[in-house]
Amino acid sequence: MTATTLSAPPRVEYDLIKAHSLAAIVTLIISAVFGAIVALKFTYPDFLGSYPWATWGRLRYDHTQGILWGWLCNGFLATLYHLVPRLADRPVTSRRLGWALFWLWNLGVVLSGWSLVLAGFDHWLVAAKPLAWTEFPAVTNIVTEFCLALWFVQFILPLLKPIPGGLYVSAWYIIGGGVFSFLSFPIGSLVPELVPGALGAAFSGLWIHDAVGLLVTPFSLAIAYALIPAVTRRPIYSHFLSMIGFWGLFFVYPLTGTHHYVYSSLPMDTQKAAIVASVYQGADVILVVTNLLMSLGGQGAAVLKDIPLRYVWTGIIFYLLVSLQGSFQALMPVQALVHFTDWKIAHSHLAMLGFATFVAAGGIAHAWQRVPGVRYNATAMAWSYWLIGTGLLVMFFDLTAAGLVEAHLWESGSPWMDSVRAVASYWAFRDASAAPVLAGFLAFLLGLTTGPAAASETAESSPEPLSPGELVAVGAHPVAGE
Amino acid sequence: MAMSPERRPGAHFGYAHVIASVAGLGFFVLSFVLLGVIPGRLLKHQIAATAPIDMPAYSPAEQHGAAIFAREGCTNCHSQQVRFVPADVARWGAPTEAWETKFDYPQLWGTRRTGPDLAREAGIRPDDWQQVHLFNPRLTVADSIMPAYPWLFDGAPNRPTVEGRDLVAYLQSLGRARALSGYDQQPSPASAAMSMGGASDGASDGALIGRGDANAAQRTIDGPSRRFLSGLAPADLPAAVAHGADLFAHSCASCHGATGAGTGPAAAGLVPRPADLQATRLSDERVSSALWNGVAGSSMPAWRDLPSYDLASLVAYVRTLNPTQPDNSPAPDALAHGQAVFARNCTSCHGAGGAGDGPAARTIAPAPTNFQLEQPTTAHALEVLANGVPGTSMPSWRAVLSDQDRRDVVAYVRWIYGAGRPAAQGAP
Repeated sequence: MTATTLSAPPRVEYDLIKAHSLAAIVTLIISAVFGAIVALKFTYPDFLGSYPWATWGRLRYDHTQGILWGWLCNGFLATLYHLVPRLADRPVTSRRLGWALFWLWNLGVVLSGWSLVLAGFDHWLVAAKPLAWTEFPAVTNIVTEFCLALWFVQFILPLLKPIPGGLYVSAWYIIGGGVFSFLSFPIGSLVPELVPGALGAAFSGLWIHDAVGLLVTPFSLAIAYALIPAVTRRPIYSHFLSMIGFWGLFFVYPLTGTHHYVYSSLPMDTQKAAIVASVYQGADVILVVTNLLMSLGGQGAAVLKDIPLRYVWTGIIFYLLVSLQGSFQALMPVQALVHFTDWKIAHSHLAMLGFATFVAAGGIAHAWQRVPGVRYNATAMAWSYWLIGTGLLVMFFDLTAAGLVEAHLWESGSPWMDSVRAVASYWAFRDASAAPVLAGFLAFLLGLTTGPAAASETAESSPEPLSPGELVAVGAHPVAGE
Repeated sequence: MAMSPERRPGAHFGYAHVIASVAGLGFFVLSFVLLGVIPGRLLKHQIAATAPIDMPAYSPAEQHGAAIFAREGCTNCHSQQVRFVPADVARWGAPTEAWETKFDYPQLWGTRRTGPDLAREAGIRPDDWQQVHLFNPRLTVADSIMPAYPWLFDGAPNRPTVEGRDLVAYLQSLGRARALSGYDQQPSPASAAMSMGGASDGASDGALIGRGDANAAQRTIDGPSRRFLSGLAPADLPAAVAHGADLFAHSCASCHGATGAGTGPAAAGLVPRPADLQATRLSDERVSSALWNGVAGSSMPAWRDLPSYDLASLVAYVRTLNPTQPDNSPAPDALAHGQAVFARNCTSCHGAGGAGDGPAARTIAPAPTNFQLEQPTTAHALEVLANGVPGTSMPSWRAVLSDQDRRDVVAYVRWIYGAGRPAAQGAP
């Protein structure tokens, strides 16, 4: 539109956007059902209790791993197929590679991981691992790592070649997150199997944070940075802040991992360094969020009208809250009290269901709307937004309160079972919060599969996709010589 | 302003490459060296310097148990790291040190506690308690929300499969190395982490209680304990009994049964069976000791984490369950005969005075009954003499003692009950 020098927009693999979006929402619903059963078992411990595959521990592994690898990564892949051609001004590497990655990811990573965990094998190659955020067995990890290499070929190679409009901030996050996760995932999954106890825990702590901080966060921020100018047609508030935020994140986030093992036998200097980094992380997030929210300044109408953008805006707010909470709870006195309690479960839901899920949902819906011929149901989307948001907030406050009760009782020295009895009602309340969340996920699925076909309505009412030149036009970067 | 023009088309090494190599690769290497490799080297040296040289590795069965522990997701609810914060130390003992986990591949530290930490689980409870608890946790702990693991058993808690046995073996190994090494008896008990950390408050003023001291059933013969009821004013007794009934229903009835008859849901899987509190009159001292020390060799754990008032209330309530027995004095000649039978057959375990302190007693768990503190009903005592007590050292005396012998020795041991009645006072 504005940039006359642009060639025709690059090819976008619409079928892969559709496939990964649907895979994302289906795995989300399955993972959420795992989560809901796990929650119910707090209240009815003998519910489905006689089947080994339905035992609490295995379903919990599948819940968290399904959310990470099934829902969020499929969501990221869907949005990458939308974003990368626009950011790189060239198509992704290969359509055939795309389909290979799709099947390998969903069958070789998600389905194989889920079923091996439920089957409960003992051999180390196929056994579930007791390591947070990498519970899937080693054989699944190998497939995952191979797939992460394919991510690199498919999405990052096109971004590494010279791009006429320069490199927009979303692309920085995609490159950084892709390379970092390709390196950190195998270390976090493998090293604790090879080195014992405390040594392994030092590496586990790193991956626990890298999964959220260097995989989920960069791809979520890439979506947020891309969606805002695309919908509002206005430049990002400050490219300087974008840069400071990006480099701050990649420098500081990896150094916070040990804050999961404060007061442990890991060297005290390591623990303290991680705590300091955690505080800096909070400062960095304030910068990033300031930049994103200032970009939306005066755009309230757009945020209200465009549901994907509203999802992203809400995700950014959750990002700020969960990061500041993270910095706060990394401090030793807070950690002494709330570590191991339900407070942390509330915190991780605010991160994964609040921040990441809201941004990913926004990204999926935004990309989906721009696929020719798909259906899109704005009413169902609006319902899903409110249902998920309500359920999440109820769960967050309920579990935070439960965590404080547990912390208090543990501190008081009263018998352990007192803390279990005391929070039973909070757990029952958490069960109830699963209903709106699950209903919201179903509404999201309906939002993508019902309603009018997209081509007529949304193509007119929503802006054209951004090409690199348009990113220039909305202020991504000045192009030399123009 | 941030974008500088050197990234124009055709540059060989653009900003994208800077991001990939510095943010992606460089900061990854930095973080893993700084927070992984360097502390790992320190830990390695520290472990080599502090681990007991004879620290036993896991047996194959225990190693298999660890794999089951990991497979079933036990770490999702049970940590294996006692942090050096006062609340942790008070509950489970000295903080976990790096060397204690030197055989754990992969580490099982955990990140959440719905149930208690298990780093010091070795020897806290006997195998059969662990089995019943794994078969269905609500059999032993009424309000537990832990999942049941019936697939580790052949249909009954006392018939574990290989997996069930190995898991219990693994649980019984947790913290064993520390207990066996005498590590905590070393001159400087403060751990390295403790002396380095910022949270020595509380630990310095004597809050360090080893879990072995805090929870484990002690191998003692009526070991030292307070008599919890003695501090209670008579007027407060009814309230204490009511409170004790409530506590009993929550914490005791799963083994001892709602009526105290030793027939709770867990009883079938426990050897020796839980005490029948209706069959024996127990002195306050006896009940206090069982609550405070547990009963070594049985599934009765120590309940030291209960507040004193709760313990006193339980003692008061248990007394209401005990049989009320008229002190029907036996005929003198029956008593004399009973004493003679007792002296010939029973004193090596139960002691000359019936105080459960015979020369063999120290090697026996559960400890022989102290008849000065326990008075069985005649029926119960006759039953024990006839059949013995499975799971203890008490054999059947049917083949050794005649009916008359048994009746008279029962009369004698019942007569012993109460202070100042032992043989020192002389036979009747």
